[in-house]
Amino acid sequence: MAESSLQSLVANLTTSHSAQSDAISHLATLLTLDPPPPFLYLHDYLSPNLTTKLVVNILDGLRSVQSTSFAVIDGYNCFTPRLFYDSVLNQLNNWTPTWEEGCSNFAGADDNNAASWLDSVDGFVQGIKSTQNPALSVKEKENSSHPDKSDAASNFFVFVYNTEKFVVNLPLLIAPFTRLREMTNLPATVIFLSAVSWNQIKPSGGAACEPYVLTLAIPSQQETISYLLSLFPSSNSADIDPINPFNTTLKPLYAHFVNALYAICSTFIRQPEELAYIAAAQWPGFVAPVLADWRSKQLASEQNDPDSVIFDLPDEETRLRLMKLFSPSWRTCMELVHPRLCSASGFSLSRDSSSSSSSSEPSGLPAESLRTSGLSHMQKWIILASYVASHNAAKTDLRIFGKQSEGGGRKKGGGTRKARSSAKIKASTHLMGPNSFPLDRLIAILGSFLADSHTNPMEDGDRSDPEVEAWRVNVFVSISELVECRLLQRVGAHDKLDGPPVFKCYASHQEVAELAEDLGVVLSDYLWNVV
Amino acid sequence: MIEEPDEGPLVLPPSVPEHLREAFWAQKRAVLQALQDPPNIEGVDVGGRGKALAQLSELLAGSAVRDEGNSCLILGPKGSGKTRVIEEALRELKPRPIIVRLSGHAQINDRLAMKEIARQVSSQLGTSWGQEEDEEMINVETNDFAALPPPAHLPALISSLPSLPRPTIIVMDAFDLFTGHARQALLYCLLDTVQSIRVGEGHKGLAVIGVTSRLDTLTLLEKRVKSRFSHRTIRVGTPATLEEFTGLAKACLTVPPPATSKEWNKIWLASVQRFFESKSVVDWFAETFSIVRSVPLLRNALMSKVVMLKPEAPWLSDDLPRPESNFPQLRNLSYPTAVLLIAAAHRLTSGQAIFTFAALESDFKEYVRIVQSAPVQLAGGSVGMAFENLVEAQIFESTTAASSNFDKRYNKYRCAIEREEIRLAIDRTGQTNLKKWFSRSL
Repeated sequence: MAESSLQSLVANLTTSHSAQSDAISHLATLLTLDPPPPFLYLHDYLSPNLTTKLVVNILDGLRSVQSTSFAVIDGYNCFTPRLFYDSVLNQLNNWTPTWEEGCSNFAGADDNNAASWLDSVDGFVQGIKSTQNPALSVKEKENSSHPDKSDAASNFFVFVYNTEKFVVNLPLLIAPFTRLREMTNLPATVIFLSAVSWNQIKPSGGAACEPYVLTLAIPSQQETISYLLSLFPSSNSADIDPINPFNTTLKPLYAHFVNALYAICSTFIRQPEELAYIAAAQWPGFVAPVLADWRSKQLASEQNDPDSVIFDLPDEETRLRLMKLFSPSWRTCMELVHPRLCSASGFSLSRDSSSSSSSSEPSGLPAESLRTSGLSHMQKWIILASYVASHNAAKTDLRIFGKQSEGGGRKKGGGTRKARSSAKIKASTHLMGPNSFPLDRLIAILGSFLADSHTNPMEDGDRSDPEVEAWRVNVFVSISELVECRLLQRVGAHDKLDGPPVFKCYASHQEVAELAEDLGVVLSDYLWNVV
Repeated sequence: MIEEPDEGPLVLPPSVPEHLREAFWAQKRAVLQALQDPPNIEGVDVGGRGKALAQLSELLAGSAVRDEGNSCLILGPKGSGKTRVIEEALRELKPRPIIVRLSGHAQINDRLAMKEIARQVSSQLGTSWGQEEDEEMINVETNDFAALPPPAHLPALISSLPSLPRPTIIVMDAFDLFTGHARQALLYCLLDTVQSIRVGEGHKGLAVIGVTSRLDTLTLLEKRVKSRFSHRTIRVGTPATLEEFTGLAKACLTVPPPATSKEWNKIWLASVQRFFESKSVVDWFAETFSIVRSVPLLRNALMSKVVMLKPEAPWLSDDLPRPESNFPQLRNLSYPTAVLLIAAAHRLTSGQAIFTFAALESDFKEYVRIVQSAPVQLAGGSVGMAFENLVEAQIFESTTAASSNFDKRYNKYRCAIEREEIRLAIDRTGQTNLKKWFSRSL
């Protein structure tokens, strides 16, 4: 490829992909070599999505200049080999299956054998050879031409991203696929992109050949900031009211905003895309006072002269005050928007609807207590009993529940032993997750609770048998319903009929404390370790 | 700017002058081409390739010209050039025999392998081979290999290979994988056919060449297969001495482009000389050679330097790439990630190699409570995102299936990196409070 067209390609890409500017020329030069290295591995642990777009853009650019063909495959999508084969073959030949033609795959000039191309690796290799090398006719006569490369074959690329999932889905395909150039005798280049390094996912035994590894560097402050700036729209669209957060006159203010964002958030968040998301969440709220000011100016001037309103930026002092006003909301934003507990648009809307003070909590927080609000009486007892069963060891049951019937509380004599090993026991239940318990233990603890709380209908001697049965069925049905609500989880094989079913309780301490209050039980009396 | 003592004072300009730019680009292209396809060095047989080529050519000539039955095994480490030697030997054969290329990676059982043999032979012969009964149904011009013979016929095809009009060469890549097939049926048939070829009975020759990097392949063969194998092994190796290794690199870098000027040649050779004389380059070659004498590694390292040359910075700099860690993010940790790693390291030293997110979070909160000087109080949210990033990067490996827990915070993980690596990573962040926490014993 001529050097000048390569330089112009690189220049075009640098403006749109400023977060990875040093990788761009390296990649572009590699892919325009003649021939490119047969197997290329890109390791980008920070922003693989951005690098995917970059590679696709480079390949697009190559296609428009040199008419090379390429296929882009998502490693998540190919969970059977056939899907992979037909995606690659269709894309390399610019073929889209259409409904009218029966969703057929690309067949080329060789309709009879095209079906066999999807059957196995050999068929796939054959398919690539037939479709990418038109000079080589179907009869492979090897008595004349040089067997290494045919003159008419041009470079083609197969780019797989999310490779770590591809390796999990199709492990047997990795070794032959990385040797595509050798197997087809054509100038194929295989490009893998992953957030994980090649050594972690390569097949053992050295079956795959060694790639040319390119590790993308972490973007510097300058590069990240210029990436964030490039996302701001560069032109106003005519049909939107000029008083909106994305008016291009606001761009210098946005630059200051982005600098502040980077300074605050970059210790916690490194990925440029995440920073862009947080910028999108915060920017409307940040710029709202300025817009309000413009709006009032517009209303004021409408009475005099509607056309002479100039929307200007706030001066330095105003800007600093704006920043100071805004600073407490960075933390809320990072805690809610970054883990996606609240969406960016939801966050900015909630800020708009609140008053100009920025301390109100935005809506959209998960309400954990909603899980336990619709439970029936029996279900509440069952949750309580199962929480106690999950968080106490089985040996302590007798100690706790045995004493209850004598009317005393939990003996504090166990306190010294508890204090010495409290860290370990604490570690084992509250931090390692709930323990599992068999159904029998749950019923026993439930019965003990109900007996103590004097709400046990079984005490009454003249309950008839059907009512007893109905009561028992109620308990079991309630347990099943709680499993469906995901407050209890059934562990172990579901089809094991022998042995009691084993459960775990996933209600949080707070939820159970509320329920206990509701039912009139002191929860801490029944827990071996008090949280 | 450097003085070149041998050829009189020669100054390397900081960037390439205009009139030499064409030569620069041509040189870069030629060097990259040579790196992909290393040239032969005069008078040096790198890795014994020349000898291997001679032996193989002799063997193939025996089968192709004198109609013998031959078998051999080509052994050598990965990347030492075994396939290249075979291709060179095959290129020289006249008249051209039928060449069948199999690969143990692609054909994972004998049925696939035999289908592939039938397909390749049919396409090279131009007829549909093995279909003696149904000749009138076959249209020779278009359907060369439309229908393969039924599976029962396939073993018989191998024994009919010598009766074809041309000699056949079968190259089997990843030969050791074929020994894992059921009863080694394919190998048995092939080697049996090879052994039973008697010269002069009107048969054409057959050669079976196995290629593998596994040195103990012969012990994997069954007794009956082994006895039919000729035990001829051709070894291809890596460069034997440091001088050969460096000489190979030098030969690739100084390959002359097709049309060049003497002025450019002098400058380029001087820059390459300077490169090879620099101490860090010499050290790099010595270290790499002492650990692994791999030509692909050398090639990738040099390519990464040559690719980045441009007219403004045209001379090779002496910082050759060092092997990278599997986890480059350790060089630049974000605060929540560092916190999680320290908590995991502490759990490891206290004997709990398996932890959950809830455990790490509570450790951090405990630390903050004791020290009361953490820079920012983080709620669970962004620490949770950092945790998920660590899981995706496979730094935290899960020890149970992901769907076994309803609550994600209680999934069990273990840390894949050692305490020492974590210590280095924390030191690099330069934050003293983190360093203090790391070295603090709980």
